Amino acid sequence: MGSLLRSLTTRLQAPAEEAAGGPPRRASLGLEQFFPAVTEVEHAAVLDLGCVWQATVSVFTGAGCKLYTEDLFAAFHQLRTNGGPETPPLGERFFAGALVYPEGTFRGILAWDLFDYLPEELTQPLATRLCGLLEPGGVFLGLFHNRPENVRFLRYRAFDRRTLELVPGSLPLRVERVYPNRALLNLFAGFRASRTFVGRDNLRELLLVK
Amino acid sequence: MWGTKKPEETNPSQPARETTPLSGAHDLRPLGAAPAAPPRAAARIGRTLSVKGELAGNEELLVDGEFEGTIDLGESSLTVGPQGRVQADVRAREIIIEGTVRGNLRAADRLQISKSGNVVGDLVAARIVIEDGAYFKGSIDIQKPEEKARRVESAGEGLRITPVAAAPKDKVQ
Repeated sequence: MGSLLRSLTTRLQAPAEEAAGGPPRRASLGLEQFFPAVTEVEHAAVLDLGCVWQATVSVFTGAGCKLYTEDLFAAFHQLRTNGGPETPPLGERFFAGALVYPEGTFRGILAWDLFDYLPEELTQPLATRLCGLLEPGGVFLGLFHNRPENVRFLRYRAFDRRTLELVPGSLPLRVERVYPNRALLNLFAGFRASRTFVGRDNLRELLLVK
Repeated sequence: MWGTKKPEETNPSQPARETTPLSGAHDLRPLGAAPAAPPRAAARIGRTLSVKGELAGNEELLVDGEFEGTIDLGESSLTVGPQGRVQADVRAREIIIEGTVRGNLRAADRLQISKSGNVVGDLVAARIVIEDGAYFKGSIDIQKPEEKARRVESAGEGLRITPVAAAPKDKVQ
């Protein structure tokens, strides 16, 4: 990323807290900055790589965005479960039916903590593919666990423009690795700027600008 | 073809969709109040039916079987039941998906994917409701009626016709 790289680490003050009668909520500086970067473009296309939630749909379509949903968590789990000794390599199967969009389609991509659950053979091709799907100036938001111990698989959804809801997920996924900052910079070398926000829950939010 | 409900297609698992007009104690209403509009009977593709083709009309439709093709219901609504499997582009006033759909859906008013719903396609509607647990892959575009009108209007501006007399003449060197 060279001299254009601007990295800022901010420590969140508010940890995840239980919402009355609902799933835990967590302030998200990453989402707070992702949102205006996306909505400054009229009718922006946003890709959500998690499962579909009414809340996320409402937040983004309410701001005039067109929201695309493609659950790569489920797609990966299904491929891994169905794989056998005779099947083609995982990477080949993964990209055969996933992310079939023209280059530069999206203004924003919400990857959540997908990269934490993927094997190494998928991470670099996926990062490169996602960068290609963003238009110039487009933004990427990813979450990365600092401490994988006792991390249970959660689904994330936007409660509002600056708050995430953490919903227990049903897929039996485990965090595969922890990315040091240098590894993240190498992984997303195609982007020109990044910001990192670290929460008390040991979750790093990485906001990247293409 | 779709308007007649055959007795053998009656599905006991769908009692809520029975369209028998209310009567007796249920029919009580304040004096002077206008009588409620009678519910409309829905045409139905039953569980054992498999249909291919173009379907167009203006009455409610419930698909519990299989349908492949296109569906255009104008101002009426489509419900794909839990056992329904539809592979079609759909246009209707209201669309409710409880089963499996592959295709692009356009609802003038409301589009709902229930928790048992499984949809792959692009959605356009004025309002969208997605229950937790539903599977969806595709795009969601909210188009309110006024927004739609505005977009058509602005598209029209782009097609403005210049009168011949006002057209710039080619420069003659």
